[in-house]
Amino acid sequence: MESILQNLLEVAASPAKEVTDWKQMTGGKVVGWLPIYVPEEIIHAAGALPVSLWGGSTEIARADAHLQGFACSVVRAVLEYGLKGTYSMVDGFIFPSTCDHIQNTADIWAGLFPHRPKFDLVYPANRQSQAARGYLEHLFAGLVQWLEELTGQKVTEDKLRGSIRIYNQYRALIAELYSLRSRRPESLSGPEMGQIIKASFFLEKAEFNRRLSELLPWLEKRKVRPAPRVRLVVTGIMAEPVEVLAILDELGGAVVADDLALGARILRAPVKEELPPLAALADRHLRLGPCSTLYDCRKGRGAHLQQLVAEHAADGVLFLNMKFCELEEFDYPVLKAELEEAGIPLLFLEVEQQMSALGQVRTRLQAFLEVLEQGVVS
Amino acid sequence: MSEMSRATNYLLGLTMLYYTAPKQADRKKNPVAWCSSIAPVEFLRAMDVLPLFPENHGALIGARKMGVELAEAAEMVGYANDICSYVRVDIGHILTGKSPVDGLARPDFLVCCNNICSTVVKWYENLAHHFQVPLFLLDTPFNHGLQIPEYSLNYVEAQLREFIPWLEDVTGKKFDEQRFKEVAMVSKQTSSLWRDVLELAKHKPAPFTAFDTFNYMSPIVTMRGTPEALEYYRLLKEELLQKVAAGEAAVTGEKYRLLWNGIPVWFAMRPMLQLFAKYKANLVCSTYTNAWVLDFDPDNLLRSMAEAYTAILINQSLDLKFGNLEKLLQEFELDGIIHHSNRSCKPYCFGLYDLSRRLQAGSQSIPEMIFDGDQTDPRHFSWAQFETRFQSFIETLTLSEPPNENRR
Ligand code: SF4
Ligand code: SF4
Repeated sequence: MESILQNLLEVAASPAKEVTDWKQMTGGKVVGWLPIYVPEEIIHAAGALPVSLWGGSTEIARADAHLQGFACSVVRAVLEYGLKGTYSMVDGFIFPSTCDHIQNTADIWAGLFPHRPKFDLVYPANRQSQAARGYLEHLFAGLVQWLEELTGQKVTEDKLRGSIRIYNQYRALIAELYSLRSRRPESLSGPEMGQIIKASFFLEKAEFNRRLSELLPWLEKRKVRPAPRVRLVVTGIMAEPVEVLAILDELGGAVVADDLALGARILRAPVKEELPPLAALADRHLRLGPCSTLYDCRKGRGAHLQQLVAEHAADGVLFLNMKFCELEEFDYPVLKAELEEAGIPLLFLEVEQQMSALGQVRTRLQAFLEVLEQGVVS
Repeated sequence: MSEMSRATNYLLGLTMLYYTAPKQADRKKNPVAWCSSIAPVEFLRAMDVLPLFPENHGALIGARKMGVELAEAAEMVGYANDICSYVRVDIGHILTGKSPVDGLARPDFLVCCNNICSTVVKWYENLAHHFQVPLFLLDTPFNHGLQIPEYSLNYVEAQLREFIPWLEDVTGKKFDEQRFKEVAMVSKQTSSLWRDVLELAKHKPAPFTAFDTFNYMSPIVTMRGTPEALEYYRLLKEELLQKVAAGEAAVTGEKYRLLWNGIPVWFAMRPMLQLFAKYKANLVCSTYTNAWVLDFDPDNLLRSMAEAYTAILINQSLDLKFGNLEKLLQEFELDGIIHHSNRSCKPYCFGLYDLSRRLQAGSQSIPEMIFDGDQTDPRHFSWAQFETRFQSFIETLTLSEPPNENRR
């Protein structure tokens, strides 16, 4: 069992190797997608391996010639990796309309790599419109066609249904893992949890499901650390750099629930298997949220966080802000006021993927945990 | 200038009317809506709704040098400094009540169109939350290709149809289709006059500078669809034509004709104007002011509106942005380009470096300058950097003679 866990951690640490191996073994195509919402089921049904391209902690050199320093570190890293050849095993790229940063990077990318297949997944932002559903189905049909051309395989309704089932299982298993994390935080370290989720973004999902279902019963009994003194809900785009989670562990805290884009946000909401597949995928997209990247005039994220805090008996909320991510930064003042009013402690912590000095992060986390611990004791 | 021209006078009156009418309005008859800068106001005007534009107000706040103070007020409550400065000064003005025009009247509802950025979507979400008023989002999907796909236009058109009952609901008024058509035609005529005005700068020497157009533009943004705005551009065009006929030059001895790619630096317009004039350089056009040229087809009104509002340049692919620059280079016989790498406006400036690289590689390669700035927040702008870059840019221009006059 230890070896399954070890293997997942290795995949997360060096995904390129895993992906290259998969490609050699199967001869299949690899399709990379940028954050946040991409119907991986369709890619899977085309026999390709969906992999997430969410940047990473590389030094930015080449990308600076194309993107200003106030672009977020995710798109800068993606461009850097693209330029230095890290994505050489990726056969096709999907750019969703998540934010202006990605949207504009998609066009820069097109100019730099005109011969590398790319699909622009421009979502309907107005999901309230009656026309959004039709638009989405059209969009996904276009994605099917693009994938069929890329892979030379037909995406049949049967294959789609099969992939949807596998992905629903995947989401259900992750939900179990999440519940374990909340019930028994001592089963896994913070970085381990983050890395398991990350590994799932690079492995073929049926394979990942097999591994995780074997792992879960073992984790139920595993104990790698004492019960945390402080329980936190973390919210943001992603919990990177992963060292932040390690620091949190060291300080005696634990994440017991998350509202991360690279986490709970994309892993919730199963696809309705009774609907025709593409309609079902469109339907799921219409039900997603709350998320800073999905239009929501009711600003439901604050209420959602309060609910998470209550459900998971958390002591506070950690807002991990990806520097320059305006979408997230807009939600912060609203959340701040709402959580203050509800008496829930909140820490705003700014991170960047290419961050090396974490002294500041440690100091601020430590101060926050101290305050919380006093609150917990008294 | 000793005596104020008729058009200038008229503009002052219009601006006054624009800010004060909503404050005095009987909200039952004339509800007030806050709108993103290129939203389909024709629907609102047809229902006697008075629109207000926080971005336009933000520009004024910038020009009157109140940007830092108001931005800081927003930062105090948690708005990050990375967020577009129009947003921060708007939130700051809401929180403090400070503004060069005594603030914007409180909105009864909000209308947001994301044809300029995703920032406005988040901004209006927060406004809706703050004021607890309804918000309509018109989503115009970004076009990554050379042509806007039909299914995108179907979706946008459907939303415009949904906008009508939504408006009826929030205003409690009936939508009058005939009236709407009339307003749309006034809007179309105004747009076309606005284009005529901008194109007068093709004359050599140009009778005005792009700095002037940054003032001229206010009614096309804020009062599009009203007879008053139409009248203003009629007057303005007439006056400018007289200047052309008289061979009047905005910059005496115009030597270099430049393009401004970006939003103005509202708080530094005057020193820039002076600096440019010193080197006999004139900004004769900008990609910014062109954004408000909207064309509608009376026989296919909603469809053509869907198209016009989606086709806003900032909502288009880099290829189309490049094509537009090339076209302007030719039509206005330009000698150089100034790109504003604007800390606030990500969609306008991510891709600028590549745009510039493409221009250099193309057949019409001309001198360019890129500077770091911000439209409203002077903390993200350095005059020293700007001046130095401009001077070396002018040197490049001098070296790349023959100057324009001799070229033809
Ligand atoms: S972190 Fe924010 S700005 Fe960056 S790619 Fe993700 S959503 Fe866009
Ligand atoms: S980001 Fe740009 S387009 Fe959007 S509101 Fe700010 S200045 Fe305007």
